[in-house]
Amino acid sequence: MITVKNLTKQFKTTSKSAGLIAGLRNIWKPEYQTVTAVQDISFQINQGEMIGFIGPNGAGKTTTLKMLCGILYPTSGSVDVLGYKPSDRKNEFLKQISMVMGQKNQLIQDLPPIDSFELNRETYGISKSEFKETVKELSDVFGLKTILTRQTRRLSLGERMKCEMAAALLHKPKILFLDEPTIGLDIITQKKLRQYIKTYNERYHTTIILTSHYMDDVKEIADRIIIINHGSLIFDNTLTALIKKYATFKTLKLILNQVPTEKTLRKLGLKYEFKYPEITLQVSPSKIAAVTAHVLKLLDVDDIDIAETDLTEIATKIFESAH
Amino acid sequence: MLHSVTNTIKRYFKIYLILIKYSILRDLTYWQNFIICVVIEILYQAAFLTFFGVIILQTGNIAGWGVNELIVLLGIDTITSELLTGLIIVNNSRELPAKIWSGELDHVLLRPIHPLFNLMLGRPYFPSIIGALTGFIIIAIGLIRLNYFPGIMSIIGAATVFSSGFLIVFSIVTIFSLLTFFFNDTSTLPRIGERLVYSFSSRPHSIFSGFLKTIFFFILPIVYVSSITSETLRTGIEFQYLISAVILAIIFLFITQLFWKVAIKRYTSAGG
Repeated sequence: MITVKNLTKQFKTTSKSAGLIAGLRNIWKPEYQTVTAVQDISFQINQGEMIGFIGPNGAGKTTTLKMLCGILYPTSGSVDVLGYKPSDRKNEFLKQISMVMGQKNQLIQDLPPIDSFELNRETYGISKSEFKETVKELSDVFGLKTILTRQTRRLSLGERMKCEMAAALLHKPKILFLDEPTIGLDIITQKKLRQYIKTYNERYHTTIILTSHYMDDVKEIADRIIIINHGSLIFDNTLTALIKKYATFKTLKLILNQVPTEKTLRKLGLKYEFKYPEITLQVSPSKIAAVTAHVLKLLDVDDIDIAETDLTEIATKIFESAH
Repeated sequence: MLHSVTNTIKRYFKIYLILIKYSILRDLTYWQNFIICVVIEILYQAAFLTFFGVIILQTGNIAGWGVNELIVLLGIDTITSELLTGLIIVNNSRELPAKIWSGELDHVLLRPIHPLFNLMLGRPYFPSIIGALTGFIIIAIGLIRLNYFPGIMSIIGAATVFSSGFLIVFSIVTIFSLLTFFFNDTSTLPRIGERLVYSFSSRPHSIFSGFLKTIFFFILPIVYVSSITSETLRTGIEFQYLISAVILAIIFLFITQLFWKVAIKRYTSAGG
């Protein structure tokens, strides 16, 4: 469905030094800099997959997505999406994809969302009956009934985002690109949006490629993670594989019934963080059973919790090590 | 093939009707502003026509064009400049630089429709389109003073030359606007195309000779939209002009498409 081979994107920019003289010098002798946003990346995505595309700011995630949907031309390498070369932007190709950008709107701000939907209906050649049915379905799922006829400019960020999402799904795309769709949304709306994306994928077997800085988005939506940093692909596998590779410890959290003595704490033989009634230990996954048994013998425990390493921590670790 | 072309035209026409409807709705949302714009447009038209009327009446004759011929030309050029302003320039070509540098073009590029259609025609400005109506009144005055009533063939010929000429000036304005892709952060370039058309379309074509004739008949063929249209309306079809206008319109649309293909490769989609 999507095949990317040795994809590279470079931008040529002028570098300007500060000051008037430097500004004047730049007129007759401009200094150019080539910035490599994406460097020689290759991957393949199959139909129905849900991909989490993660990386720090400026890593090249959005640039890659924009090359996949034909907004940007690659400097070198090849991209094949649904059998098309995206940069040709053939109508048949564009009718099968959609992109939601958390920071950019496709809805007409001065008009109600339903008017933008109607424009999309004509643009994508959706029949009136299908359109009516889809709008009803999306409206039920996102709870849009009362907001579809309100001026878009007057909607809250969450309401606008739900309408953006609905507008992108009207033509039932085979591939949905989501570029930070939950940015700025409250926790409840984020959760609802994630839930709908998952349901949509299950129902229509739509391929979903998501970039997000919120690891909860990635954890809940994606079943495969692609990590990109400084334009290079540094990881491409399942979430489980990512945790297995990078999560070198699990967090053992205990709620104690009484304050342990210094001597007892020393007997733990591990690094810990203690603030009564909570004690936290980081334990190697292979030793978790033994350590738990050992700790339960030593301490008077009221409650216990074993947590996987947080995805945000893993991501931070990967990005930092790549620097 | 023919079926597919007809379907495409139908589809674009339907989309354009929606865009026009939405433009009206948006203007009506801020209707006070809309009324002010219409009033300003009418006052501007009145001042402009009074000024040029006085000049024409005082001039008497320009390169073989008498006062009444000049009045007809003024009427057609009023339609040209007002339609150009209303359909292409105000909310469209002038907004292009901002759309390029803010990355707002992204969603336009994702739609299964030619992006130039959306960018250059997507948001008509109605006060100017209303202003174009005065052009018909001026043409009527000129023709009455000439005591001449054009036949149906002259009207069809004039309409064809005008449409071709309008496509040519559309292409010129578009090409200059697309230069924005090549230069950093400027809103001046779309205005060069506008100024060229506004400045030279109102001149009788017979004032150009030699090198200037080559420029305004072939390189930047601005004379067709108003001047040749005006002559066709008054004296009937001249096939040499009619065929040139149609062929040049096709060539210019083709060049615009080529230019677009080169320009869009430079798009960097700023803003995340």
